[in-house]
Amino acid sequence: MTGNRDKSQIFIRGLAIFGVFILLAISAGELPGPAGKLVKIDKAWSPETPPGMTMSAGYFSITNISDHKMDIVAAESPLFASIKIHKSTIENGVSSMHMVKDIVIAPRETIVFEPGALHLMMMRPTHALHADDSIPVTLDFADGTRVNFDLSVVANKAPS
Amino acid sequence: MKIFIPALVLCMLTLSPSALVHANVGDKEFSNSKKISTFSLTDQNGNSFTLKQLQGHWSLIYIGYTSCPDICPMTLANLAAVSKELNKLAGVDLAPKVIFLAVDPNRDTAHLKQYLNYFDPNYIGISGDKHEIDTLVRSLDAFYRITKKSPDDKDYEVSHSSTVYIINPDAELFGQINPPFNPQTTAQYLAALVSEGAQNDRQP
Repeated sequence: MTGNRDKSQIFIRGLAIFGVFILLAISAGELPGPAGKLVKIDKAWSPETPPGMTMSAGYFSITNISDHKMDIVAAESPLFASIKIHKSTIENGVSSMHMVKDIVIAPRETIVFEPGALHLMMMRPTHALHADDSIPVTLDFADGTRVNFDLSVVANKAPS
Repeated sequence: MKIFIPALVLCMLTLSPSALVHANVGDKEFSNSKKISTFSLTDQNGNSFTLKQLQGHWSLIYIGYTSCPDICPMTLANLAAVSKELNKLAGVDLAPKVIFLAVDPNRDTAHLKQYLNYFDPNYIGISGDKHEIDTLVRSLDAFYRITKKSPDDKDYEVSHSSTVYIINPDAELFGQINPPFNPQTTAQYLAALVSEGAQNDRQP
């Protein structure tokens, strides 16, 4: 009788542990944490901010490695008061920017944020940022996924 | 640290090779250079800057604003690379002066000097009254527009011409360079242009 109870408790404990593992496996890509579960982020950088400049830009490439679409709806950083997704365009010789509401990335698609095109427009830094600094950024997706990564600050100068 | 110094140019090469491969150097040279109307602006050191300061040397004028996060820093870094190469190819005396026309004086004027120093201490930054800015902008056949979402909007954007305007030593609009441009080939084009001009000046 006692033996059966022990076996039953072991089975229940095993089931509970298995359940926890399953839950962790399912939610791993949905929790805040390093990029790599649902998307892959490369070449993340931001040009050093010249003195007095209250806005900067963030660039990176993002690949959707999941099997469903991923929709970036917002971005934030503790080092900036606000971040918007913007796109620069040059039409008829005029450069302008406009805000992009969201970025939908199809499975296996790569979208590049780069100078003169899509970029994170980062407004009002908490302090001056210099080459070799890192800017922590969180991307928010429509499904609730949050992905953290760092932009490397690089000097925005021609070779001296 | 040192490896990051040529960062923007290198990153552009890495991230956007097409932007540098397809240069539009000397996209447009006007058949007849165009006179520039008189204007009165102030440089980043507080000195008067008028048509007279454009005479006697080649100039490159780029229109922008210091709160511009993307296109302006990219272009100013690119032009710094052009200047560096031009100094080698044509010599410092002949190399065109780079002039940044800051069209958002409310946000630009206070820190224009330190802003431009970051890219190249030889840059000239000019700004001033809207009427005077508009006079020069019109002479260049250029464009800018400040768009505020509300009177209190501090993060407003400015649409502006993306062109680099080439001004000859007679202070006339000679041509324009349209982005994206390759620093190396742009410098070669401008070096040939200013050297040819110098030879013509020496001929009887």
